[in-house]
Amino acid sequence: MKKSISILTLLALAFFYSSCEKYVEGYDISPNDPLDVNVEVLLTGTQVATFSNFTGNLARTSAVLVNQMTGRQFQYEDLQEYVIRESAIDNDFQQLYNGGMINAKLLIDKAGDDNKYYRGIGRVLKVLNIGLATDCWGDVPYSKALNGVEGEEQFNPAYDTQENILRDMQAELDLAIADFNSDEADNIKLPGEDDLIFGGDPVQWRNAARILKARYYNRLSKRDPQASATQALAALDAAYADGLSGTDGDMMAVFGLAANEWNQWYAFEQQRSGYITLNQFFLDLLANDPRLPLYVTADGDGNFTDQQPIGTYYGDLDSPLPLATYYEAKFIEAEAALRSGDNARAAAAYNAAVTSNMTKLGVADPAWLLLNASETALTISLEKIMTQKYIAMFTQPEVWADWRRTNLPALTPNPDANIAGIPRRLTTAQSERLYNSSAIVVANLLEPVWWDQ
Amino acid sequence: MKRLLLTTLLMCFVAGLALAQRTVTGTVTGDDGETLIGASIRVQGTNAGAVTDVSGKYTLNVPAGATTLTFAYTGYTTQDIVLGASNVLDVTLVSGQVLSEAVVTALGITRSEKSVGYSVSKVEGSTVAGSGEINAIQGLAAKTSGVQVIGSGGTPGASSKILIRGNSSFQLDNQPLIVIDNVPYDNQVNTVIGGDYPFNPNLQGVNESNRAVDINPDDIENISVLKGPSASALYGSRAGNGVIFITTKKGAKGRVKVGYGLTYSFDEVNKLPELQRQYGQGNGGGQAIEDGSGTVTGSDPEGSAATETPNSWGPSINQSFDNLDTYFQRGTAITNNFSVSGGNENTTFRFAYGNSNQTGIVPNTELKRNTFRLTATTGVAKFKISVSGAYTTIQDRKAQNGSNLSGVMLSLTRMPADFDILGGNGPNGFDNLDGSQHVYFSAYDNPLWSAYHNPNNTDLNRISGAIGMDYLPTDWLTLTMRIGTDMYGDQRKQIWDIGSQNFDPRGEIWEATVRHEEINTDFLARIDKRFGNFSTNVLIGTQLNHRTDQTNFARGQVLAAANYYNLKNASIFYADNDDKTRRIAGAFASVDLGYKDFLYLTLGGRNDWASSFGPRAKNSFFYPNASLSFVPTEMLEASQVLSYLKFRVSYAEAGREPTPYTSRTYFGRPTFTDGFTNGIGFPYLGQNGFITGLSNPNVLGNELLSPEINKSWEGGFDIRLWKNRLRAAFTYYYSKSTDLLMQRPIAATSGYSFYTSNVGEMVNKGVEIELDYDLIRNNNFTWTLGGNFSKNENEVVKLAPGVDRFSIETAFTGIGSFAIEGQPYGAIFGTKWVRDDQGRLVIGENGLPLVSDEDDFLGNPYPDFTAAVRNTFKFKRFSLTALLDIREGGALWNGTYARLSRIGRTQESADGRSNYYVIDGVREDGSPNNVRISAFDYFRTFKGDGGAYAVENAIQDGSWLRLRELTLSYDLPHIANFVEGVSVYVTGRNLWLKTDYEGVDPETSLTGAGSNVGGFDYFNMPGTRSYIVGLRANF
Repeated sequence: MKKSISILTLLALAFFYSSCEKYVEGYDISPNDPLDVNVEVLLTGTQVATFSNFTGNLARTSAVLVNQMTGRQFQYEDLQEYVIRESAIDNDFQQLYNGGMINAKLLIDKAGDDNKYYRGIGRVLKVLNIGLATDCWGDVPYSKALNGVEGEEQFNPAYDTQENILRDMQAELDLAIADFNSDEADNIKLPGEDDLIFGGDPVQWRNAARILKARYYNRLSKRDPQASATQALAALDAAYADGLSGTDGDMMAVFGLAANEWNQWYAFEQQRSGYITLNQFFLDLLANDPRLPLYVTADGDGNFTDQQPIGTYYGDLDSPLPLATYYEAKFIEAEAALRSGDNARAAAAYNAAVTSNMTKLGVADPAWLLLNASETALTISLEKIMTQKYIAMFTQPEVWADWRRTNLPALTPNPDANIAGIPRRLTTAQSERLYNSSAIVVANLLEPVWWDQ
Repeated sequence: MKRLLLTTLLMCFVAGLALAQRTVTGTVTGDDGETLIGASIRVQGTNAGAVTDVSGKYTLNVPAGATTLTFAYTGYTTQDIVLGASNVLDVTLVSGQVLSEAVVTALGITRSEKSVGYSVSKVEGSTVAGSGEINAIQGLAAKTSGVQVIGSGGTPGASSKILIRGNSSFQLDNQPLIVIDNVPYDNQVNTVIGGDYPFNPNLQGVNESNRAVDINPDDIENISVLKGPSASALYGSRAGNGVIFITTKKGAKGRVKVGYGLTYSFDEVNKLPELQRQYGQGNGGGQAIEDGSGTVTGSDPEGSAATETPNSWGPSINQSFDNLDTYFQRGTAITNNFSVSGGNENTTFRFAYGNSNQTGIVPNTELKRNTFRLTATTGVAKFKISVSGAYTTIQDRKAQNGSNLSGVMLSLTRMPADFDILGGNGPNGFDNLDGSQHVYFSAYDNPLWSAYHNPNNTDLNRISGAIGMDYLPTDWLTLTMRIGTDMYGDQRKQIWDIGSQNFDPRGEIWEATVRHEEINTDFLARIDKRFGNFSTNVLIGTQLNHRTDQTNFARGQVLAAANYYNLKNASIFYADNDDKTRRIAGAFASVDLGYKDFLYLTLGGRNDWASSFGPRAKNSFFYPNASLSFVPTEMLEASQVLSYLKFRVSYAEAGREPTPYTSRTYFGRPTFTDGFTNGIGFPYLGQNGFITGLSNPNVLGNELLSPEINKSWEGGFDIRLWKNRLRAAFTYYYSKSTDLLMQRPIAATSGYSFYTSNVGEMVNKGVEIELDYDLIRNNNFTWTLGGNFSKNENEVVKLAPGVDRFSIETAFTGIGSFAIEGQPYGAIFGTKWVRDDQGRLVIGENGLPLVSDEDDFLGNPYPDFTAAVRNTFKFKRFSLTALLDIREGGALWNGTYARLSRIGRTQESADGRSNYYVIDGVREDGSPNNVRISAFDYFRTFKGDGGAYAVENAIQDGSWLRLRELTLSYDLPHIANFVEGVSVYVTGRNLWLKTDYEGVDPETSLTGAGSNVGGFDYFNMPGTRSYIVGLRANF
């Protein structure tokens, strides 16, 4: 009797225990967010992240540092004085990895051999993001980065030298070109409207990859003037041979009319009105330039002053913003050709670069071009190339990198600044200093990155 | 009029019922010969009763058939006296030794105070309601020890946060569970915003409500504050921060009683930053003047006028405007409470209706609340059925707050003094003829325009309550089954009118529905039996709890027509929905053993099963508790001095489950932003997009989460001296939280920015003292001094491996709320000035202090101690109560002050605009600093947040001394037989405030009760001072 009671009790307890387990089962998976997604939405997600990284705070920071814009209010007033706090650029650093790179990496993995075009796009997006990171911060985590999902031992990725990062970026771009060279039939899925940049066109993608190759070869102009020129020209020659000939192949960040699609220069002007205005130095350069009214918003009296915000060509709700363009390719060609002693090619490329930019902006005034884009082997100079590139590449972080490499055009640092000179890098992000025990912390904004040495 | 008629009718009804049969009078004295004031006399078996007056006399109408009167007085033995023929009955009460008060403990179980081995504070409902606060949580401020109430501003419905014994968790809710009549009552803050909003919504928006605002304070009979895990262990994982156990008023056996209360109150702003009216909008003021040799001799206060700048560094002005005075209005509130209650041998009931109608200090803000509550019990044979339920409706309208381009204080305090807020040529003054708003800087809304054009509306309906059944098969066993629910639907509408700056200037409408549903089922078995000298009390039970929170959000952008606020008026749409369900099953048991009424031991434990653990984690966890109480006065001879002494000690553990859906890594639809804009997100140009780890923040899941554990020790004593004239309680506690659940920040280079994990260790220790002393107790006059003191010391002992600090919640760049090893939780973290080893500022060549490269600890937002002193004087029919509230320490980041200094709006920036300044400190070579700087540099950078400033300069002491409540009330003399009592009173709240804080009332919180961040003031709404007149009548 006693035994059967205790057995009954045990049975009751077991039943009770399993009922409690059952009561709470089945509520652990979120109905709000997916555990996995397809490559299409991952591609679009990664592209928009890249748009944000290239056209947001880093682009504006670059524009202020190279005297194209002037920081006038609050955080940008600080930036104008070259005060760049570790917390102020933390968002930008994190987004390069969390928005751009990790998802490009997942896209590459998910696409795999079966979806080579997707994989190729993933590789180009990865290069764009790591390229911007290393241009701003020098040595950063790369080969050991993005493995956090494997466990806590991967939470403190080591820093790679910029030299190695740049080398691997070239290899990644070669792999991307190979992916885009595959037959359509080798792809199960083909990118289409989900590819906001080229609508899935593999030719445009591989030429864009070649422009990036040229950009990053040319980045080594201080380190290895000759090889950097030869390699850059070779990459561009391959693109031209593959049909790169005009602005159709320009890689653009695209925006829309809804507030969540806005061009970020426009959104900034909406929400942070008066924070940045045009810089007088840039206005002087643009005097008599047909691009002036496109770059600057006129004031009530029709004047283009240094109290005015960016113009509507790059700063309207849905203005597209360039990421890599034909005119950039031509400017790189001009610079590389000049460096390798081919002045005639340099002059021709320069003329084509300026003309292409003016044509794209719809202001290809023949008279102006005759005066400003009619260089010859005898008249071409690095200063002319870099000055026109500086103007043409407005809004792109490339301008700051170019200035650091060439010190052209000659810029006067803000005399009231906190440090003596224009910053040549950004300070290590706060999250890296605090949470990555492998971080190599650099706070000195005048310490050049490797390619700038 | 309708109300008056109703009241009159009820009065007649009641009068008819209460026909007195005989009137007994007499005097009650103590055994020491003193007359006893306020002794209670009850007619047994009825609800009739009386209280002795200031001369110890009473008059009592005794219903027909009654035979026995019960005389009771605190500290004296209760006496039952059978009525004789005489209608005069004088009674002498013998001072008792043991005062066995009942204490409401977990699950609403009433136990004798002697037997409870942990501290439980009891707050009378009348002191909560008496504060005149609409929010019952705010009404608890300064009322008891160990409890900190943090209001967020003086606007209608603004949330109040409550903490018991500090913060025990890094990222889970640190507020106690609220239970009303045994049913958990949701106290969330529902911040409604689209899923694509990339920032911490707590930093801006409106001052959202904590949902305890749905409680009518007038329904509260009393509140038991169960402070530690020992007290609340039976509630399981939800009660690790303690429990606020609210018992509502009930009906009693006897005639039907009717109560009516009316209050009318005024609110006005009690404190604002000091702003200048000498210099107008513009730039260039305060620059250095140099003499021939280049020495700075002062500053030129005159700047040049400019529009389209937020700066007030312009020229001196002839005409100025007191825009703040124009802006803030007198808030009003009218509250009506009506109740009817009664009962007979088997059944009791109470029905109450309350309504509050409040308008705010900010134009066009209001809160309307209606509450209905019914409680009833009925018993038949061995069954007792009880019902308690409430229905609440709230309609409110709130204004924009905080870091918000449409925010009231942001735009209003920055407004240059030469700008007239009503200077537009439109019909309202804050607008122009073309319908646009009248602004001084196009990035900011005119705050008056914003109040009328960016309203946030709530329309909430809430039902909560329970049905319970007790079955008593024998006299020592009670079986209880109870099912309770708490549900609300909150329809929100936020309008951002065409032209508003904070979101799309083309206009936005947000429509959202927030739904909360909770179902709680309890089964309990209680055994209550004595064996000789031993008493036993056994409780076994289970609890099933289901909670769902759901938000459906729709947004329409780009409005076509003005003044038309329907989604149909928009041309771009966004929608999302969010569902969160969690379930907890609990089983618990508790055994109380008592020996000879002086020694009690309680042993208990609870096991919880929770739905939110990962697939590979154990979803069940157990935690024990034990407590001991020893009452030596029960063993000793009666003493004239020592009336009562109890020692108590307890230990308890509490476990908490993870937040739902944090155990895995999800993909999320992102919004990308650099922090300056609202970013870009999806759907994007007709395409959808997802990225890993959700977005904002990017979180890596963890399938092996375990519960967060809190272990706490508590010890103390209760003592009463001189026949209970002095009553005191002392408690010391130590609690340690381990395996804290949090989204721990990790380096973004790992691919994610946060990792959900169990990390770290945090300790809270402190003392609580409560004291009441009847200083004077004589015929016409009593003076009772009450007080409480609380000191909590918190320390973050350990964080994650390799991490010694992290941000609790994303905040602003440059200023954050952090957990830092060795520092108190919630530490304010930001940039600091460089100091030498003697602590002196190191001044750079430009005459300004150097800023350290790395951010550091700046201050503890939680106070060193809090205390309250309550003096109650009673003179004949008058009574005067003063509640003094003391807070020592508690840093605030006064971001408002820093920004106003920077733009030249503070009074001191105007007073000192022609001076030069030499900052006290040393040069880098150690020599004293002698560099003179301009007024502009001084206020912009050294005092403000411009240039190479350090956030440190805006950290201010939030200590205060305030007269929180002052009440004078008068009990009207006998009016008529059917009137039991009428009293009228006036109350002043925050009549006096002393603080060094240079801003609004330091009882402020940008982030409100929905956030674990504390101590931020960035253009927060001001607090209020209130004047209340009221009337209470019982029939």
